[in-house]
Order: sequence, then C-alpha cells, then structure tokens
Amino acid sequence: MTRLPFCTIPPAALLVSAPLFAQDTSRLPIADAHVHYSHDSVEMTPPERVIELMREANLKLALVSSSDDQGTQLLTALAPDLIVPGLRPYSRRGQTGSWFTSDENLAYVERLIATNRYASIGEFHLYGADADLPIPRRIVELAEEHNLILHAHSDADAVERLLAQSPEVKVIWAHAGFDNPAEIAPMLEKHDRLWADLAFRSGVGPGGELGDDWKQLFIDYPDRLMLGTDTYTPERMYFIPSHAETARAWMTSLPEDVAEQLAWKNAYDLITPVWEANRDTTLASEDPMAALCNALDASTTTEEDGTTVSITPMNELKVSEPVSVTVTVCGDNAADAVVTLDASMPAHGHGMNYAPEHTVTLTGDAGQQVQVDGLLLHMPGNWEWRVDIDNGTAKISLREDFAIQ
Amino acid sequence: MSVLSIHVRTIAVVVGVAVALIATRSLFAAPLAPHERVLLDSFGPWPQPVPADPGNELSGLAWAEALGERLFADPLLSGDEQFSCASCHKAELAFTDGIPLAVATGVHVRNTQGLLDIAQQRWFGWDGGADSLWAASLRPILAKVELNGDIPTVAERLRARPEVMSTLRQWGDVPADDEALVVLASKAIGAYLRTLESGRTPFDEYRDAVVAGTDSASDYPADARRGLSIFFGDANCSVCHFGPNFSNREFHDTGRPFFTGVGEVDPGRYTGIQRLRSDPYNLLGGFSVDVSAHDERKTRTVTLDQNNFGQWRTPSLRNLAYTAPYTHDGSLATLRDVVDAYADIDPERIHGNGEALIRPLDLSEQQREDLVAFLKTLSVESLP
Repeated sequence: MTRLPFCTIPPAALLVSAPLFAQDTSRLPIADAHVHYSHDSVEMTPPERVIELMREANLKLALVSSSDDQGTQLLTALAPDLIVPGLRPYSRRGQTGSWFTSDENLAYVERLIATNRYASIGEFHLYGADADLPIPRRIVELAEEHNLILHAHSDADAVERLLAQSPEVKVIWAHAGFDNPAEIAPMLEKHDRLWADLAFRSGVGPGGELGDDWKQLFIDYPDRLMLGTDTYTPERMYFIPSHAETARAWMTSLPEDVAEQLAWKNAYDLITPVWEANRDTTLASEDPMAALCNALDASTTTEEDGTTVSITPMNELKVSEPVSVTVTVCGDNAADAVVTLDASMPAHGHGMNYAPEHTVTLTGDAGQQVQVDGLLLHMPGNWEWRVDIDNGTAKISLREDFAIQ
Repeated sequence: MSVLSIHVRTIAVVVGVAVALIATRSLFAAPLAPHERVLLDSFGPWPQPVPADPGNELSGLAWAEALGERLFADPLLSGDEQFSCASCHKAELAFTDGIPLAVATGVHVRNTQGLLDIAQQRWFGWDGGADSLWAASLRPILAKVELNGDIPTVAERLRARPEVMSTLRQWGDVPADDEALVVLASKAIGAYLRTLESGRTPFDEYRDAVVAGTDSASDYPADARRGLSIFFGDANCSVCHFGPNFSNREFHDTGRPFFTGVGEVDPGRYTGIQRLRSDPYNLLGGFSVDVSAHDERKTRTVTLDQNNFGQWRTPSLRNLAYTAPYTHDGSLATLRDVVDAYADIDPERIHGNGEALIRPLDLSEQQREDLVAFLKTLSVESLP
C-alpha cells in the first residue's frame, strides 16, 4: 500500500503555489463536511477569499450551510466543483434553540427548498424528544421528499428519533454528538444510515497524536466518519487550512486507506451522489406547475391519494352559454394522466349535450393544467363535475357538486 | 375503474336562489319572493343583442338582408316555382303557417316553427340539424318535401335575375360555381332571418318593473302573476324555457309521441345530429366563412347519444299566441292543450333516466288557466 505524502509546506506558500481550481495531488485531499458561512462571516470575508482558503486547504469537497443562506449560495456559485450546499434552517444566528418550534423557520426551509438545490438540511441543533416535535418531523419528511441528508447537531437520543421517523433518511451526526468513541461505535453499529463528522472535536488527534480509542473507531468503521472544521464564527473561516493540515497530521497514524476514507472518501461517497442527483432536479420555483400546485386552494377536492383538483372560474358559468374552464390537477398520479372533465345533472339523469374539448396547457411533475372548452350547461339547477384522471395503470374519478341559476 | 371515496363540495354560483317555488292557490297573486325576483331577472332584458349568423360573411349587411327578404318570398327557390319560404313561414302568424304539419311540395312530418328571434337559437329546426341560419335556409330549398329545389336549377334561375345578380355583386364576383352561388343566396336569406326580432311584451314590462323595484305599480294581470309562480315553481317550466328568449336552446324529451305513421317514427334530435354531421354546409365545411373557433366548436363537440332519440329543441315561448298549433308535430291545438299535456303527462313516457323534473302536476283548473294567462303575456300585443 502506498501512503500519500502529507504536506509539510506552510499554508501561505501553498496559496501561492497551488493552481486555482485544480486539485493538489501532493497532499491528501480533505472533504470538509462542516462549514458555515453565515451573514456576519459574509460581511467579514468575501466569498472569493473563502474559496481561496478552501483551495489552500486542498479541499475536495465542502458541505456548507449558513445562517442565512446567502453565504452558501455565494460559495456554490463561485466554486461549483468544490461547494456542496446544505440548507441550514436558521435565517439568522441565535435560532439554535428555537427553530424546532418556529413556523417561520419551517416556512423559511420550505421556501428555500422550492428556490434552491441542496444536498442536506442542517446543521441544526436538536436534542432528545424535541426531535419528535411537529417541525422536526416535517423536516424529516422534507428530507425524504427532496433527497436530503440530515445534518444533526444532536444527542444520540435525538438522532435515533430522527432515524426512526423515516426508513430512508440518512443522518450525518455532527460532532458525533460530542460523545466518545465508545458511545459513537454502537450508534454506527446499530444504524447503517448514520454517518458522523468530527468537527470541533479537539480531543481527536490533539498535538497530532491520535488516541487508540479513536483510531480503533476509524478502523472499525472506516466508511462512516468524516472531517469538519465547523466555521461557526467569522474568524474560523481562516481555520479551514489549519484544520485540514492538522487532520492530515494525526491521520498519518491510520492505515492509508482508512485515512483516505476519513479524509475525503466517506463524505464524498455519501454527499456527492446526493448532490449530483439533486443538482439536476427541477425546482418548484422553476416549475410553474409545481408552483401552481403549491398555491392551489386547499379547499379544492382532495382524493385519498392526495390528488387535488381545482376548476376555475366557477363564477362565470351561465346557463346554456358555452364556457371554458381550467382544470388544475395535482398529485403523483396526475402528471402523465389523461384528464377529462364532464358535467351531469344527477337528478335529471343526463349530462351535457356536448363532449368538451381538452387542451393540456401546462404540465410538470406536480400535475397538469387542462383547458376545457365547449362546456354547455343547458339547464339551471344542480350539476356535478366529474374529473377522470387516468394514468394508464389507475383511474380515479372525482366529483364535485355545483349549482347554476 | 376504481372510484375512490370523494369529498364533495357544493359551490353556489348564485346564492339564495331556489328553483322550487310554492305555487299559490290564492286567486290573488302573492308578492314575489326575493328568490323569484332574482330568477325573474334572468329572463331579461328584452330585446337581447342579436348574434351574427355564424360562418355567414353576409350576416349584418343591409343589402344582403334586403336581398334575403326578397328571396325568402320568391318561389324561384322551389323546384316547381310554386312555393317559397314564406309559403309556410307567414309573417302574420309569427312566421308559422297555422296548421299542424307543414305542407309544401309534400306533407311534412313536423310543424312549421316560427322564425321570430330565431337568431337567438344555437341550433335550427326542431331537430337542430342545422348549425347556422344559412344552412337552415339551404336545407328546405333542397328538401323534397319542402321546396324540392336543386342546385343547378336554382343557380340558373338566380343568374337569370339581373336584380339578384347586381345585388350580389356588391359582395364581389358572383361565384361561377352553381353550388357556391346557391350557398351565397342562402346566406342572404340567413342574413335576413337574423333581423326577425320581436318586440317587447307585457311580461317584459313586468319583469323590468320587478327588477327596478317598481312592480307594485305594475298592471300585470293577477292571473298571469299566479301563472308565473307556477311556471317558475312547481311546474319547472323555467328549467328548459330559460332566459330572455324562454329557451335554453337545447333538446329534451318531454314525453310527446313521435310516430309519424304506422311503422315510422321521427327520431328528432337523434337524426338531427346525424344530419348535421353529414351536412356539407355545416360550420366545419368549406362553405363556412370566417367562422370562429367558438362557433364551430358546438358542431365539432356535440354528442350523439341514445337520449337524443325523441328529443326536440326547446322552442322559445315568445309570441306563442300567434304560433298555434304547438309541439313538433302540431298535435296540441291550443295553449291550454299544451298546459294540460304537461300537467297530465304520462310518467311512463319519461324514461327513468330521463328528465326527472317532468312529472304529473296536480294543477287545478284555475292554475291551468293562470299558466295560460302567463304564457299569453309572452306575446307582443300585435305583429308588425
């Protein structure tokens, strides 16, 4: 096994000698899974300088989450080859102890999910039974819906509660809960959807020496742990290179393959596929149909499978006058389905005398919008809409009463 | 098909309107209830704007209307030059003929329909076999039982009329093609038919007074007022005879027989739709000009269903006083006969899946006369 040479060149020299945007193959790359670039940090350090610091540290990947999200977006735009954005549920500092009961924070998260692409939700602070509160539960649902990793600054109890809420969701346990290896190991053993970052763990490799307990943990779980700086203050952005260098130092005591896994591969293998998948998704904000479905009046007819239908405008219907309406159908079964609208008078035992014409005017993963022309409700009284949604494998029919006079 | 459970929501487009009204048994008309006033509002104002004849480039042109009026009364359109449109559509009878079944070159199986306010309709003829006034004008010219004309003969006669040809030249070059020329003449007749509007009636005066809130001073007859409540109420007449022209412009089976003889029936709307679809002069055909998508859609989307068998177009009730006898076969001689036919309808005539709103009505003699009195107020005092 060939061990990669660790760098001994001072960081300042690296900054000069390292070519921008090219990986330094002379030093072990680092994936930093715990970076924040929050509003006060943005004010103090330009994003270009942050990227310089990361290049200087020979980062291969940085999972960045910030309060607010602007810093993350600035860095992502500047270095898409390096930055993986995470969605921190805090719009400002000072929300670590309140976010999980705040509807505003939840709305903030949902708005950002509809607007930007991410690989994770976090890092958030959550302890014990608070993980089962409605907002954390919704966060887990969002993670599942949008293929996002949870990045939890939590105790083991909260981590287990989060994992229990979803059979799919993956969790990066920030700081590994500030627990010791003896406590982290059983968690990793028990939960195969759990990873751990070592950010701000001064007890790992102090003075370049790795304790046996940590060393054994890394050897026993070579594909589950990762590094992180935790730039929780503006000044700490400048610690990124030093953190990387320090880690390289204590990782020399590990088998080369384990060191490589810990240094970057574990984070890279976990985060990159998620990010690559999410990066190519269509956002709700870019998808008019999704936006339409998100804004759909909740009072419209809702099927058990979540299919939602809206027929507008209802206030322009006139007896025996040709009218057009727009049918908006949202739901998992609606996107590729054939949607048809018909109307009948159940008490009279008849429908319309015409087969209205349907034109799909908007489609998207969220559903579709269909313009229906040539409706003619030829008698006053009680009518019934019938919307058939046939996607080839399932057909559902929704009915809605209305009256015209 | 899997029909899942459904959450039903009712949308009231017009809040506070109930269709069922309680007919008063008093000889004195009770004041109109608020919902009656709202309903009455929808039966006016009158006159209404007159829609253009769809697909007819001559619609609305004064010279074409004048030419159409002349052609309407000209026997040149009939095979033997003995009949014209006006032979059956007599102006003094609101453009009907006063007999049960039309008689021209043959005896028709249907009653001649009045033409006043015909442009307010969507379909033309008892069966709606025509989708425009010009197509409805051309059809009887070529029908054996009506004018029994043919394209070459009628075209030849038109070309032989200098005044007709000079008038047509106002449009442009007179078509050299016989069929196009006859179609153009039919469009002139269609343009004329569009001008046949009827005036205001006692009902219109009353309706406007109600809407304006001044009906207390109205001299609308009390029996007509009582009849109006029955019409809008228990009798359900207003469901089909809806709107300012007292017609929803569609088709219904009201239980009237439609045998035309032993072993022969007139299926009404059922054959009307078939005829419409095969008509080269419909709004989807090449002779239809500048037809809007809105207008041609009805022809493209109308459905043919077994329910159409024995359906007839809901006639306007305006000027009924002049258009006896009544119904598609002229089998009801008077308005009282019409009222009785509905009031005493045989429920066996209405299919279980049919118009559930039609049922025998327990109407007293007085109520029947009140309904007749109301219907008479839908006619103008006199025809021009």
